Amino acid sequence: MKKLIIKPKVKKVIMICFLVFLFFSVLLSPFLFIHIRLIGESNISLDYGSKYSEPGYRASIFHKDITDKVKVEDNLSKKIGIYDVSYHYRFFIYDIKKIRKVTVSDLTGPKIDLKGDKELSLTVGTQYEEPGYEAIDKLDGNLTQSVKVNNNIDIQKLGEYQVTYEVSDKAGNVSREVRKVKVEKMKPTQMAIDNYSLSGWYDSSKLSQTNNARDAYFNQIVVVGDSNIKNMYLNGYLDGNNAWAIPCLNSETMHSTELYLYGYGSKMKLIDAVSKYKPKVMILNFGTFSTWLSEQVFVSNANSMIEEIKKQSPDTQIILSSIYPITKGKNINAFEQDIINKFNFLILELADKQKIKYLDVQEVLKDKDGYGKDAYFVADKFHLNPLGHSIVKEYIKTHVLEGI
Amino acid sequence: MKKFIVLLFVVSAIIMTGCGNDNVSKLDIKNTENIIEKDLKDMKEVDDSSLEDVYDLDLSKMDEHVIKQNEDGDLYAIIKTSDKTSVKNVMEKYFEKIQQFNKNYSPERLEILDSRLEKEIGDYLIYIVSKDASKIYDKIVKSL
Repeated sequence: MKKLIIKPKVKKVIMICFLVFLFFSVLLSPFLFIHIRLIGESNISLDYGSKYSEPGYRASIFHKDITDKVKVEDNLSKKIGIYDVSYHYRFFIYDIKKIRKVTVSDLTGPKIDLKGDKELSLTVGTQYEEPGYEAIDKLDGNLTQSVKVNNNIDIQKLGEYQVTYEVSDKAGNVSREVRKVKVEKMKPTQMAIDNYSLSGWYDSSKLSQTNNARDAYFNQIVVVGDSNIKNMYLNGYLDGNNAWAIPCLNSETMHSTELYLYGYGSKMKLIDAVSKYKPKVMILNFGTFSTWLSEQVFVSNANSMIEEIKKQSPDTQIILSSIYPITKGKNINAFEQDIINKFNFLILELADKQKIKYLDVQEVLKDKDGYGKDAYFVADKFHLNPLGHSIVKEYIKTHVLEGI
Repeated sequence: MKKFIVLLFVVSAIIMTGCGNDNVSKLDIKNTENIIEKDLKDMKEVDDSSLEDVYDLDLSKMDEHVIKQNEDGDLYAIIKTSDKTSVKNVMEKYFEKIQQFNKNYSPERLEILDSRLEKEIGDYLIYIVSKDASKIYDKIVKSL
C-alpha cells in the first residue's frame, strides 16, 4: 500500500487549523455540552388578562439532568407587550441562557351575555320582545351600545329563527352570540275555553275515528275511573266485569285506593287487579278530581302508574282517556273547565311519551262554548247522565284501537 | 499523520455530541395519557356526544382530543389544535359548566377545579384537574 505523504508545509497548516479549532471548541464547549430545552414554543402568545403558565424546561450536561439548577427569571407584566422568560445555568464564567418570548395581546373578543333564555318560544302572531344583552370587553370595557342585533323572525310563520348579536373590540376580535327563537302554534293550554282543540297536537297518538266496532270490541275493554265510570256500569252501559272504579279517584290515589271490581264483587288496588286479571285493553280515566292536583304531581303519578301496569301486565294495551268536561256554571267541587283542558293536554302528552293511545272523548261531550253539553250531564254539572254514557260508549266503539 | 487525522475526527465528534438544541413542541398523546393514568385511576373517556350535548363543548376546532374523568372528579384533557385561543375559550366554558354541576352535587370539588392546571406545549393544550396536577405535569415534562 502506498504511504500517504504530506508535505511539511501542508502539515503545518493543518496543525494550525486543528489547534485553532481545538481552542475555540474548548472555549465554546459549555455552550455545546450544556443543553437547555424548552418545553413548548419559544414564542408564546398570551391573551390579555390570562395568567402565564410555565410549560416547563429540561437541562442536561451530556446526559446528566441539571434541570433543578436552572434559574428562571422573567419581566412579565399584565399589560400588553412582549416579555422575556429567561432560563439560566451558570457554569464557571459562562452563563448558558435560553429565552422564551411571551407576547401579551388582546386575542379574544368581548363577552356577550344574553339576558333571558337562549332558546325562546313564541306563539304565532305575537311580537318578539328582546330580553336584553350586554357586551363587556376586557380592555375596551362596556361595548353593549356597539352590538349589532339582527333577526330573521317571521311571527306569522311557524319555524325556527335566530337572533344574532355581533360586536368587535378595538383589536378587531369579533364575538357573536345566537338566540334561537321558535315560532309555534298556540298550545292548547293557552287557548280560550271556546277555542280549545287538540287538533294538530300529537295526532299519531290519538285514536282516530273508525267504523263502529260494536260490542265485540267494547266488551274486551276494562274501563278504570271515578264515579262517572261507576255510573256507566250502574246505568247499564258497561259490563260489571269491565268496570273498575271508585268515586273521587285521581292519579295519586289510583296507587293506593282499592277500586270496586263490580262484576267480581271484590275490591282491590288497581295494580293488584291488573296483575291478577291482566286485561287485554284498559281505558284509564284519571278522574275529574285529578285536576285538584298540581300538574307535576298529577303527571308523575299518572306516569308511574302506567309504568307499573306495563310491568305487571306487558300485554295489556293501555288507552288514556281525557277527563270529561263539566257544564257551565258553579259546581260543588269547584272544578274548572280551563284546568280540565290543561290536564287533558298533559294526558295527551303523556300518552305520546309512553307510546300509548289517547281517547279524546271530551270533544264529543262539549257544546259550542267549550263546556259540557247540558243534555249529557246531571244537575251537579260534572256527572254524566245515561245519554252522556251512551255517547261515551259510542265514541269508544267508533275510535277503535288497531289490532284488537 | 493518519493518527493525527483520526484524532481530529474523534475530538470533533465529541464536541458535536452536545449540539442539537431543539425545543419540544410535539406531544405523544397516548404516552401522555399513560403517564397521567399512572396517578389518576379508573379514568373513563367522555364520549363526544356527551361533550357536545351535556357540556355544549364545541369540538370543531380540535384536531385531536381526549377528555377523561373518573368518579372521584379527577379529570384531564389533551387537545391538539391550531386555534388555541378559541379552544381555550371553549374549555373555559366547559369548566364553568362542570363548576355549575359541582355546585349542586360535589361542592368539595370546586376548589380543586378552580386550581386546575392548564399548560400548552406547541399545538397541544393540557388540562389536569387533580390535587396532584403539578406532580403529574412534572412527570410529563420529564418524559419529553
